[in-house]
Amino acid sequence: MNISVKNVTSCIGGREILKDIELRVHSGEFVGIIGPNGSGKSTLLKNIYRVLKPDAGVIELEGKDIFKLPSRKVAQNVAVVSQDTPSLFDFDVAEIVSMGRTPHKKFLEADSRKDRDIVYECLEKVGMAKYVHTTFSSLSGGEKQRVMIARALAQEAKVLVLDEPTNHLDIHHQLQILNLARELNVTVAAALHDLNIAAYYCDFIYVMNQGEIVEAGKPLDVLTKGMLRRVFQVEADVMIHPVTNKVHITYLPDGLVSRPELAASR
Amino acid sequence: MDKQLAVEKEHITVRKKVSLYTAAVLLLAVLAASMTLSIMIGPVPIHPVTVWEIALSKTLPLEAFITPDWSVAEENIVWNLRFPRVLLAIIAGAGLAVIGTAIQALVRNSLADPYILGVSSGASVGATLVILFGAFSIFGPYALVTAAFLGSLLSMILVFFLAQVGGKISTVRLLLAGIAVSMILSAVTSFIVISAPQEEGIKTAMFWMMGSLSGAKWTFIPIPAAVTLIGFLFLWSQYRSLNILLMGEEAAVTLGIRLEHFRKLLIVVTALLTGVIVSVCGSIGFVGLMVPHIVRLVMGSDHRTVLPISALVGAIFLVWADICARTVISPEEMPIGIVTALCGGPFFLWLLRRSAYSFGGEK
Repeated sequence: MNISVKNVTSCIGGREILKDIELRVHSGEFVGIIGPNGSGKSTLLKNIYRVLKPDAGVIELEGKDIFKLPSRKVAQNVAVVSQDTPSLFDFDVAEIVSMGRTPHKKFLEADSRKDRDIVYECLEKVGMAKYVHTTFSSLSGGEKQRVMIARALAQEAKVLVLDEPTNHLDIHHQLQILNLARELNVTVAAALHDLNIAAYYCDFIYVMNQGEIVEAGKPLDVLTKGMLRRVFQVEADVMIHPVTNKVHITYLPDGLVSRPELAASR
Repeated sequence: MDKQLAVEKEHITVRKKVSLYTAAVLLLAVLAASMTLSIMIGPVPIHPVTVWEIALSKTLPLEAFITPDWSVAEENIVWNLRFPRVLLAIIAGAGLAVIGTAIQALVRNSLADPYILGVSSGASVGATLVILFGAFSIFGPYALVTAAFLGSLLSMILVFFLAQVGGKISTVRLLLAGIAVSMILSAVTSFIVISAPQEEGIKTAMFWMMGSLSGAKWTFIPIPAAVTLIGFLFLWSQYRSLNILLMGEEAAVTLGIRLEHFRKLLIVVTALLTGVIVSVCGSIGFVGLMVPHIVRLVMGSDHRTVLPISALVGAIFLVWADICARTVISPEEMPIGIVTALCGGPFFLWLLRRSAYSFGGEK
C-alpha cells in the first residue's frame, strides 16, 4: 500500500498550516517526517488519516482519493497512533484493543475466537498481555500508549500512521515499538521527534519547516549539519556511528542558533 | 512461561466482571417479581396468583385450564388499570435509561440526560396548552399525547439546527443549544401556567410536568412499546460505534466510523424516542442520568452490556418508583418524578463519594 500526498494545502482558523505539500510513501517503506514544533507534521498526518480535509490537493491510497473511499475501507488499511490518549469512562484494556477490530466486523457480527486471539497477540507484542483486564484509566502514560499501539496493530492495517508514537515511552519501549513497526513489514509514515531514532529507523525522511517540505531524502543525505542549523537552529556534530553504521547526531548545546522568527515576534 | 501465557490467554474470554448473561437473567427475574408486586399493591390488594391468572386468561385461550375465581371488579383493576400502568413504567424506565446511555456517549459528557436536547420542555409547552386551554381538541383523547409529541419534535429540530456549523454537529453547541432552548421553552410553559384560567388545571399541568404514569391506558402502550424496542435494538446493534465514540473524534474517524452521519442518526433516534416517552408520561427525571452510571460502575463501559442492563435496571427502578408514588401518601398520588429524585438523588450522591468510579472524568 502506498500513499501519495499531492499539492496539499490545509488551513486552520484562516492560517495556512500546510503549503503545497508533496509526499510519497512507497509500499513497505518506513518514512519519517521531522521538523521543529509547529512545522505542520501533525497537521499533515491528520490530513492523511482524514481527521482534517485538505483545502486543496488530494491524498491517495493506492491511487484512490481517501476522501472518496468508504470510511470502513480506509480504516481496514490505515491504522493510526496519535499523540494523546483519551481516558473517558472506564474501558478495560481488552475492550480498547478490541475496538481495533471494528473495521473488520460486519453489522451485528459478534467478536469471534479469532478476534480475541488477535487482541491477545497484539497485547503480547507490546508487552501488555498481563494487563488484559486492567482498566485503561489506571495505566501510566507509557502503558496507555502501548495499548493504543496494540489497538492499531489489531486493526491489521497495511499502513501505520504514527504521530510521535513514542512520546511518553522510556527508551526501552521506544525501541521496542519502533522495532515492532519495522518488523511488521507494513508501510509506515511517522512524525518523529528524536532525530537519532529517525536516522536509525527511517528509509526516507521528509523535513518540514513552517508548513513546507524543505528537504527530502535518505537519512544520510538529509540529516546534515547545514539542515540542522537552518531548520532546527542547532549546531551539531554528525557522524556515521561505527556500531550501527547509521547517522548519529550529537547536539552542541553551546551552539544554539537564534531563531529569526522568534526574535521578530518579540 | 508458555504454560503461564496459556493460562492468561484463557482469561481473555472470561470476564472478571459480572457477565451479561448472568446479570440479564437475574434482573429479568427481579423485574418479573417487581411487576407482580406492583400489580398486587393498591387500595384493593390482589393475590399474586390471581394477577397472573387474569393476565394469562386475557392473553391466551386458556378457559379450559383457568377457572375464574375473581370478581369482575378485580379483573378490571388488574387488567385495565394496573397492567398498563406497570407496563408503561417498564417502557419508560427502560427507554429513558437506554437513551441516557446513548446520549452520554454522543456528547461524551457524564452529565447528559435524555432531556438535554430540549425535548421535555418542548413537550411541556404542548401539554400545558392542552391541559389548561384545551388546545388540539380535534385529536380527542389523544390531544395531550399528540401535542406533547409535536412540542418535543419542534424543540428537537430547533436544537439540531442550532448545533450545526457548516453541516457538522458540534457536541458543545448541541449541549448549549439544548440548554438554551430548554430554558426558553420552560419560560413559555411557566407563562402558560400563570395565565391559566383555573386552579385545577394548574395542578394537573404540574403533575404532568413532573412525570406521572397515572394516565396509563392500554391504548397508550403499543406505540411507545414498539418505538422503545426498535430504538433499543438499533442502539444495541451500534454498540461498537458507541464505544468508539467515547474514545473521541480522532479515534472514531480512524476506526472507520462515519462520524457526522452517525452523530445525526443518534440525535434523531434518541430525540424521537424521548419525545414518544415524554408525551405519554411527562418528563420523569433522574432515570436517564443515573441508571447508566450505576450500570457502568458494576458492568464496565462496554455498550454491549451497558445498554441491555441499563434497560432492565431502568425498568425495575421505575416500577418501584411508581409503587412508592402510589402508596406513600395513598389514597393520594405523587408525581413519580418526585420519587425518582428523592430516592435516586441520595443514592447517586453516595455513588459520587465512591472513588472507584470516575464518571468518565479524571480520577
